[in-house]
Amino acid sequence: MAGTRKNAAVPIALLAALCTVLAGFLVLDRAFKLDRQQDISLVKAHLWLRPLALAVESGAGGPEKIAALAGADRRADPRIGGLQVLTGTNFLYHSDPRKIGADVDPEDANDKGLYDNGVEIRYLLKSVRRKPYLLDLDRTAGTLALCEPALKGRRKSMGILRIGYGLEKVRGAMDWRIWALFLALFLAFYFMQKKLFKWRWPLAAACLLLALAAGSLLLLNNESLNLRQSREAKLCHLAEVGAVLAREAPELLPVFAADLKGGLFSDMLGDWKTARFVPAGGGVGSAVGAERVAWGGGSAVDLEADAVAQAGRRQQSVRQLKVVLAVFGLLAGLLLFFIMAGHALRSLRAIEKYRYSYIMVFPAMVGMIALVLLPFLYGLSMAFFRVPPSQSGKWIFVGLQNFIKILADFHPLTPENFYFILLVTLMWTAINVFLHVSIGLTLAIILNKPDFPLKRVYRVLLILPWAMPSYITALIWKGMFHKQFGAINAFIKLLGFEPISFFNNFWTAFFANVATNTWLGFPFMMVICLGALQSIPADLYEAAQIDGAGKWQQFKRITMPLLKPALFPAIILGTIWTFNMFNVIYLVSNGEPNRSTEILITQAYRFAFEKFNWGYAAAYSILIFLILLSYGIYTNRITKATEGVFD
Amino acid sequence: MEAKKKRSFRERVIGALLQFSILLFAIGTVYPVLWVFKIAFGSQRGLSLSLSLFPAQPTLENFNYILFKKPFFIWLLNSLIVAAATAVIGIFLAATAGYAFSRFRFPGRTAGLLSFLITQMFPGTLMMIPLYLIVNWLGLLDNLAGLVLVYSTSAIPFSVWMLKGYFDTIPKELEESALIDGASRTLIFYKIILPLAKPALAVTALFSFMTAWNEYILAATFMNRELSYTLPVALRNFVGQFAQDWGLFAAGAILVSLPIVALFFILQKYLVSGLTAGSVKG
Repeated sequence: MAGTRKNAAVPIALLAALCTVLAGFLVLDRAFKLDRQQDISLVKAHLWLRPLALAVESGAGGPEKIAALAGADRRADPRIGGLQVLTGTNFLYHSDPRKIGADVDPEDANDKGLYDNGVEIRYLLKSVRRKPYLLDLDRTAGTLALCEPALKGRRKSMGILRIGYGLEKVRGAMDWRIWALFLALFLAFYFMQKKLFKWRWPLAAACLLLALAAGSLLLLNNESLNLRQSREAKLCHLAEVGAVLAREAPELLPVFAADLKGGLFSDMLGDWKTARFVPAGGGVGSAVGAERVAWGGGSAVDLEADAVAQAGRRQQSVRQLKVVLAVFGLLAGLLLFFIMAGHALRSLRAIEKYRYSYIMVFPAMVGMIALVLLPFLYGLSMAFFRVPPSQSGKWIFVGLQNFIKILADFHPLTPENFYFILLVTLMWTAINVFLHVSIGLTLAIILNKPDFPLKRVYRVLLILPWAMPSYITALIWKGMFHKQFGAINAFIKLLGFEPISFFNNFWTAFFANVATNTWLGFPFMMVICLGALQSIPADLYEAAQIDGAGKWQQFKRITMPLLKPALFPAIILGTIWTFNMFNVIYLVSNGEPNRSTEILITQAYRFAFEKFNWGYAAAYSILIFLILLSYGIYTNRITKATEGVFD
Repeated sequence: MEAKKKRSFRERVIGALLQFSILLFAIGTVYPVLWVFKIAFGSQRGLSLSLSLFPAQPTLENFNYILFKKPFFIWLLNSLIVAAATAVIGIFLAATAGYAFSRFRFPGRTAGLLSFLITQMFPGTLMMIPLYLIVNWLGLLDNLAGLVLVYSTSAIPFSVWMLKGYFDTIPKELEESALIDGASRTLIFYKIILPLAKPALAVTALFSFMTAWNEYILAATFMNRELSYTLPVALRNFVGQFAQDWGLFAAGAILVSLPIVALFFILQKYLVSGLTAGSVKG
């Protein structure tokens, strides 16, 4: 029996691994595709600004000349949203005709951003060479705003230009096929786990086939598969821009070529992908720039023709493959349907047979489904949308973008970064649980000594922190750490030191949190340990003593093994609770200093209820859930904490 | 004889050290609580850096203000209603489910138990917005019933697991003989099982009560009128963003904690057995 199962498991596991890799690749692919399209839009937006900037810099024409040029631009490319030319504090040109010649209005959010950016650029001119600045990027709304300085000589600022530009629409990889892929993967794993009925292997295989079909369809749909992050890919981007320019605005080609020689795009393409709001610090560099010069200008058009032909050839083969895959998918789907129908019939019969059990579980289940599971699923779906703060607003589907935003931001040493907070959270959890268990266990062992005086009084006193409401505890401890009248500082002063402001330094603030939570949490562990210790028969120790076992050996051979069944579930539960311990962090340190002592759950709360970025917060919460779930599964497998519970 | 005396001397030293350290630890544990008393009975002007547990100018003005200048008794009543209803409903739902999970073998049992466990991992922030929408949709914002609904369901998983564990330790023979005598399943549940499970029921009820009594975030989100606040929300406002009234907060903290601490100590004798009976075998 075991042998046959193993044989069937190998190919299925291989398939599963393949599908998982496929899924991961698709997610990344989507991100790269978005980045690429965004680069193209950026370069184009920049290229529309260049002649205007040149005109301002040369001082060749007055406002009329600028207006004429800008008007021509806007007619030529409908994706130009707004266009402003600011010299000093005065608008030389504005896409809103009423504002031409007017001063910057600080009340107007758009114009203020432009002004601030001008100030910033003037400041940066001292250290960084000229380059356009990305002001604002909104992928889901499909808009970006780009700023460009107008300079006199190399260092002196004349003014600043701003363009609003529509992003290229990406026909997303996140369409129904990716959902089919994930669903099929999920079902496949689900059926593999189930030991209920004998059809599980064909069923799992069918699901995996479906997943494979969906995934392959997706992959084949994506052109330029292997030119992604490489240097050639970057050249390719520029070639596309060149081609578009040649078609739409040939008069801009010389500017484009000149900028290529200046190495302007090496920064843009290299760095904007990863750090969108950070000014580039060198990036890809000038080595690439030299190669680009070779085909700058006219040859871009030839490149485009070549690309079209290649794409055509690829599409031909894609179409044939699609048909084959669709047939496969259909067959697998049919198989799945018949088996599911049988499954449903069987569950109906099961409900009939075990009516009494189901009736007893029913009320609790209804409550759980309505008020725990449904909200959870609702929150889950929120992570894949951009959710407007007002309830009436429309949700915009963004696929995995929220997750990518969180996980792709890899600057782990800055506060508010996911990995940084994860590190803090892990440290927080490990330290707390360790202290809870060790203190709780020690106290329990001492208080379990039969002849320990006053042990009843101590038990009552030591449970006190558990009985107090945790938000009160947290606030009390915040007061205890207060600089002016906190008891901790009184103690420090007594020892002859200066009072400490605990919440101005990461480590002291972190210490304050841990102290509070330790105080809060050890009684639970103590009570659990006490209960378990009391159930250990005393004659075991007597027998051990007769056999000559020392205290330490008794502890190691008798106490620990018999404590385990009670202690492990408590530790797992305690870890989960500590990981999500909102109250203490929020009320004691409140993230101070500078948001560095946040843990994941408080950060998610901030995204949701202070920044009203609900989709983002939901994605954050799901990551928390996934971390905890994998922890739970892993430890359960290791410790067998739930073993025997299901018999 | 000689050796025994020596050992007992050593043991006495160790014992004294142990007692001393436990005493220190207990003082450390109780100190913050006593510190709250000091703040509560002191006046706002008397706050200073001092370890002493006696306020410089003892006064009852904080208690007077909270009890009679603020709608304290309405808040107390709100909290009491919500917590008691949560405990009763939660116990009813959890006891029936826990019994079924403990005694019957039916398809979906393992999955059900596991899913209860997994819900403990759902992050609160993820649930808050949907719960708000649901409660709003039911028209139960600013209504105690909304809080009761949410609290009693969120307390279910832990209660079910605990009760199931306790039911497992009750011998099956009791029910089997009752069945032979012709008692119905329902009768057995109410007349035999529930009375036997008193410690676990008491502890479960205590925890459900505490969850509801102590919960702050959801209450703060759902309750917007001052008169429908529960105690935690009201209390938090004393040391919130706009006020730093530690004296009032401390007085309030004492008033809020007293009932729950009392309840805790009354039910303390059940705590150890009710909490751990299910998880320890042998």
